[in-house]
Amino acid sequence: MDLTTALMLLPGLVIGLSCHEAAHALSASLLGDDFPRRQGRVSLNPFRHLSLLGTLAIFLLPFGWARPVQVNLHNFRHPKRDYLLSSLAGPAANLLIVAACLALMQMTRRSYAFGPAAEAFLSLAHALLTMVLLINAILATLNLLPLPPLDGSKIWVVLIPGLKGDFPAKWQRISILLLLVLLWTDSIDPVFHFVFDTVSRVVPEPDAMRYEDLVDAGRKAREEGNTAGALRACEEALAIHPRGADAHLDRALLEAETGDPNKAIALLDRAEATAYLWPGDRERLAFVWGCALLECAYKCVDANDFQRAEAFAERAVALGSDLPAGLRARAMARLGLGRPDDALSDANRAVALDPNVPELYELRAAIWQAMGKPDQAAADAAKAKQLRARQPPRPKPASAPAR
Amino acid sequence: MIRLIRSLIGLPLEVLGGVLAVLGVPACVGLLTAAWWINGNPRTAVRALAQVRRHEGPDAAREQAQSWLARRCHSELAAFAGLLYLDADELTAAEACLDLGRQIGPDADGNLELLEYHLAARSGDPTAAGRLARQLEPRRDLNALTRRLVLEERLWQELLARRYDAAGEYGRHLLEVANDPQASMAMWAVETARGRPQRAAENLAAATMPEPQYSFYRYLAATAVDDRAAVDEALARLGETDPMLVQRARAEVARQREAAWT
Repeated sequence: MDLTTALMLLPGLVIGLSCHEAAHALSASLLGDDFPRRQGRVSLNPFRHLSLLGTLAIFLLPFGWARPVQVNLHNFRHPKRDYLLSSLAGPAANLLIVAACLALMQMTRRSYAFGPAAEAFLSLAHALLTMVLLINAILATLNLLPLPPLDGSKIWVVLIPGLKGDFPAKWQRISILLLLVLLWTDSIDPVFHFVFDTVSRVVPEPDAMRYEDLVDAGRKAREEGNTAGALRACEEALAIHPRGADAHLDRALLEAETGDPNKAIALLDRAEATAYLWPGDRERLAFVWGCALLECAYKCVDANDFQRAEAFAERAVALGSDLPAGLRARAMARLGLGRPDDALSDANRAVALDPNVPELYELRAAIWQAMGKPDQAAADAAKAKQLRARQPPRPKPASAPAR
Repeated sequence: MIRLIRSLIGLPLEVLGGVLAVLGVPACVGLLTAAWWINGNPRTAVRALAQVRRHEGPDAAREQAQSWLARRCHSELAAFAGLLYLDADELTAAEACLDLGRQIGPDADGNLELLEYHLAARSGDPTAAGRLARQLEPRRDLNALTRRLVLEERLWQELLARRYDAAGEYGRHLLEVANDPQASMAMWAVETARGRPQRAAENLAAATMPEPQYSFYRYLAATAVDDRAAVDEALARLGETDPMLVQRARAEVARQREAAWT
């Protein structure tokens, strides 16, 4: 087992084994046997319970063990019944820890509810609690197996008439060997699978995971062209994490692509104000913002509102996330406004930045045409045609609006 | 922290020594002794002494225990040394160990009370063990062996005082925990006194002990219910083995009866 996994297992095992043994000792003491108390075992101090060898085994094997609590059956008032009860106290303690973990996880799963500062702490706490819960669930289940020397085997003493307080040593040795063989050959895996399945059903899903799933689902829906589904996923993700940069940006992008680009810009304004943005998110925000501005500019051009189109394009160029596209939009707006010289200047800059885009040559051809220079227009049109013939049809970009 | 480091260093020796001890290899003595010097854990010392006794004899074990006690005093070690002296009938030395152990404090394994009980049983006072058993009976922190001895003592006291119900309770309790031939023999007497021959026979069948213990306890049990035939048969068998045993058995009955009423 690698060190990281062992270190992840360690807190759960230390807590689980210490509480398990302390519960045996405390219950024995309550039922009349003070011998474990005399040995200092009625304590939650892990050093009183952990076996050095059993703890070191965690780093080599997938399990560890503690020093067993020695109970004196003669001290019990009802030896068989009390022995069974004190034996069951160990797994019961592990189940109590499982319940406590579940209760705490109701808080830690809400990783976005306590501000960005608590996010990382709560996520780590949730992961640790999950491990502690899992290990304690395994400890409880494994110990309830009716095989000596596990706690569950004490049930036979009550069920089988004539069987005394403890199994004969010979049976115990055979059973330990059987248990080791079961562990070694993975034959006990169905038990572990049962625990894993049950735990995965009851463990509350952290908001961070739900948020990520919803963002992924939204992106998948968008790729499949299911805009309504994508929007719904974004809204749900934002309901969980109102400061989620991904959901904000995806929502704005969707709005820019298929809805109202102005609304997209408003959403982006809000995102910048409220979302918790990492450096990478800022780049994405700028990119999406650029896309939204360009979309607005193109829509205004289509509506012959060249004044506004120029304003939107101006902001897109200033943002500079996709400069050739911004310059093209501004050139279109300026051409519409009857300023072909300005439009030509933008088109030339755009062609210089990206000389392989046929749309840019087509635009410049239109500008030349408006300026009354058919030769240059024809040359650019030919160039555009040549580029289109050379290039395969360009797929629609995944995160940029198509025109 | 220092203790943890010492335990970590001593661990390989202790584990290896433990494995060799299970396999009966004499080299375990050296390993366990070294582990005890490193980790300073009296339980390791007791394990090492048990192996010294097994492989080098009781004299060597006593000598070793005495030398270790002189250097590092632990109540667990004192109790074990006392038990070693007891085995050699060196009662004065055993008593000295008991006093030393008491001065240091209670031992976690509960061997001081075991030593105390054995010393009482071997003292000249016939009622000492009985009195000590009564004193120890309310205590719930005794180890399994001491507790069993106390309960068996109380069982015979009650039986020979003909308080069958009380004796039956002790017998039932002892038999619920483990197969106990002494308790089975006593329960034969209890069931006979209660007029349940079937159960009495079952208990007698369960009371499997080698001679002369069988006849010794059969005599005690039969005396408790005035089964003359069984008394005579047991005494005859004891006499065949060793005539002194007849005296000892009679003395035991007198001792238990005296203890029951004092």
